[in-house]
Amino acid sequence: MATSAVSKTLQGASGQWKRYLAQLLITVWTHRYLYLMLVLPFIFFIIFRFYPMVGNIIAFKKYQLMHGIWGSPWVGLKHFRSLFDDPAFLRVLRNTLSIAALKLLVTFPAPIVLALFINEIRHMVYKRFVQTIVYVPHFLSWVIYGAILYIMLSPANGLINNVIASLGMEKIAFFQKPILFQPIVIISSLLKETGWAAIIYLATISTIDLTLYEAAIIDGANRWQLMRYVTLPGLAMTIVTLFILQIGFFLNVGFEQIFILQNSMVLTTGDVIETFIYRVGIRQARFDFTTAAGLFNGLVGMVLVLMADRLAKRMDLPGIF
Amino acid sequence: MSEQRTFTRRQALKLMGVGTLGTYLAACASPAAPAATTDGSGDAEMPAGEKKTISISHIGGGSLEASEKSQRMQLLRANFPDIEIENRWVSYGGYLDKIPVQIASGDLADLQFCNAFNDIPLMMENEIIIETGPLLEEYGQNIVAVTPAKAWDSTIYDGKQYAVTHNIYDLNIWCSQYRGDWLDKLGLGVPETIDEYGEVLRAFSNSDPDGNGKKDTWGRLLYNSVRFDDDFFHAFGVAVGHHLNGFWRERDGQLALDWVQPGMKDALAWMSDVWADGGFHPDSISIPLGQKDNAFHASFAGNVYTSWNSIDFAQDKIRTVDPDAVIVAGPAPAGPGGRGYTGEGWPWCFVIPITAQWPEDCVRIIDWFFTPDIAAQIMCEGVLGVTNKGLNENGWCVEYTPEEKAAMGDEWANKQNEVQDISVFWGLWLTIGTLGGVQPFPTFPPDMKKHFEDMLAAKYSENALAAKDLSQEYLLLTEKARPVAAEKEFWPGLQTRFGEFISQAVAGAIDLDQGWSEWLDFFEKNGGPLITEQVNQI
Repeated sequence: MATSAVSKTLQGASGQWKRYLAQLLITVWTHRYLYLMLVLPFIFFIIFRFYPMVGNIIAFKKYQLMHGIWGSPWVGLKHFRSLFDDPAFLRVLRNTLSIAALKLLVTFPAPIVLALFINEIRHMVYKRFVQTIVYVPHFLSWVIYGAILYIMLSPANGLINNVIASLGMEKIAFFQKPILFQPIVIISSLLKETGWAAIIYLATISTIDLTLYEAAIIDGANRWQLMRYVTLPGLAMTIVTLFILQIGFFLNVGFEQIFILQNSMVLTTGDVIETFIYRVGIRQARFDFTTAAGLFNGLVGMVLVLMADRLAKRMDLPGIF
Repeated sequence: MSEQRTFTRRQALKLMGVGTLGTYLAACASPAAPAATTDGSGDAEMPAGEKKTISISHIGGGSLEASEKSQRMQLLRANFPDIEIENRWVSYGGYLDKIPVQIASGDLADLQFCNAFNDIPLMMENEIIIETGPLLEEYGQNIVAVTPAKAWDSTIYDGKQYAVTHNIYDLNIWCSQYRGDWLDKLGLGVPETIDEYGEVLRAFSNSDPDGNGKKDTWGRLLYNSVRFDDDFFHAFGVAVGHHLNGFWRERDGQLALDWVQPGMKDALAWMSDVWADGGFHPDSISIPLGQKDNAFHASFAGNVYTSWNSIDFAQDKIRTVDPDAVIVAGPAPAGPGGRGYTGEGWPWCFVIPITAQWPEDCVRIIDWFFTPDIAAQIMCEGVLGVTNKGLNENGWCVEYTPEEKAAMGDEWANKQNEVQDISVFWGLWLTIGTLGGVQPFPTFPPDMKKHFEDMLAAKYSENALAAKDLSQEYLLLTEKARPVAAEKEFWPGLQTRFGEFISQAVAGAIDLDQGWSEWLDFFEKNGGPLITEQVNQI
């Protein structure tokens, strides 16, 4: 009797699976040209994104070149234990979290605000001029941008310090003070990338139905209210999507920027997971150990994405899954 | 009317999930194929009519294209017609990152360039290089004849040798250089002692040596992390070691790291005093390493510690902003712990990985460079016949003298532009010592040797040659022969922590006494004693 019930359940499940597969095939065939367009990106992701993920396994092995990824002996969670026992790692974790949180709080909303303000500019020539000016820094590499910052902030003859001195104050060695490192990172990110990041919001604003503005104006809305009740809600989906995507890279605080700006005097606040991985993993070739650090980084990012997605859905906003 | 069917996100995610899982399982099911290996016996046989292929990895300036076009590479290929030389150039700026990745991925050339101190331990740990002693005995007589015995120290493990060649001249090329004209204006002499040296730095910063009425000059710009400023550390009997590599000396019959000796604290206290008095350029430590000589070249700093052979170049450069500038070299300042300049020793070498099919030919190729007749053709700087004079009647290369270059004017600039990629390329030939200037081999016949000695003498100013003598006179090398196993795990942490500590101590950002005890405590708890024990077991 029991056997028969199990058999029926299995048959039912099998039948359901067949129906599902048939439906899937029909769907794929119906949209075959769209799927065809997906083939190349899909292959790209398989080869360059998913296949390399297999290598993460060395986080649990003592990686030896002679024996390769699969032949190297397992060491379980040894690298993770070493990682969390390493005082340097605890410090880089703290710095990474701090910079990441500051970046999220400051640099994420900044382009939204900038886009809203630019959208309010009525003089077209001036609007384009402002847009161009704020985009330009994005096209400079961090190497160039970092050099400009060094020159501007130099205590010897930097522009900012000359202004400070002319006001009768003492010059500041900006890059020698650990307490100033994170603010410099945040402000330089803000100046360099805000304009570029605002593009996507400006594009979204341009898709908002103009009749909504007309209706609001007829109802007596002023410009502030238009921005508050029409433009901002129109941006909500984009903001949530970009927020969730950014959360996924929460711990990736920007290797290039930090590496260019940091020096041995500011490591207390400026050493982050990415620079730690570079220094220990690449320079000292401890690939297994730093793969563990990278894996931890990725896992934190994944958990945060899932949490942000769930939170967005609870707030009746669209998630990404 | 047919119903429009849509492909839902749920279906797409499932499809992606199935695809990803399938790929992952496929990858798991196919273990990496073991690399083809050889036991180093050289038994591989070549099919008739086919060429052997030997890849050579080497570093240098310029580009792969430039190294392909160079006369040296053409000469090499012409001399070994039965061998296909695969040129694997690595940029000088990228080798520190590239080589560990090459090692980890197994993508090693048959003749692999590496840094003996950093890379050989890693290769030994992975058992991927072959012993070279017997091969050198049989095929590398020219190499052996010109290489000092001490150069091999960093490549000997358990009494066996694991490198096929080395840079044959130690990189002891650093010395302290001063603005002689500033010293004259201030009525100061070239400092002999650490106290005099401190006074010179303070005077350069505070006594307006350029006479423009502005406070825009400084004593010296300290390099990034204070890791290349060993000249005044040695006055206290300690050194940091170039690249924060450490400096070991024998103390009470045991090798001990200078970083934890009391002299280190004294040196930091002395530097901190000079810093407080404004003797160091305020951009010190925080400025990127690539700009280390800029303050000197721009006539802002009056002292620099760098390679002796850059002295003429520096003087020309400074004279573009101050026509009266004169650069003079000085001795290492003497202090309570002695005096000295740190030499880099013999870091660079070629090794042969187990994947090399023709190890004997690898040695033959390198040995060929060391035969006097060939070395005499390729050891000059510049491109044959363009930025050097080409070969003389004996077949030995000849460089232009500084006077001849100056007389050529624009023509010289045009020649340099024409071959700029090639002229800065010295990669594979680094081991024969062109970095420190053309230096004749001890195996050269007397007339050939005299030719290159005369050329070297004509190439540099008297000041530069005096600087060369000073850099040799005060040479000090670390006494640790090679890296030890414990360094892999502990050295990065110690290096970072020490660099951080000394930078903060010099700039007065921390209390020296407290910082010093914290550093000693860190050293004790993070592998310092284990490394010391292993170093003494070598």
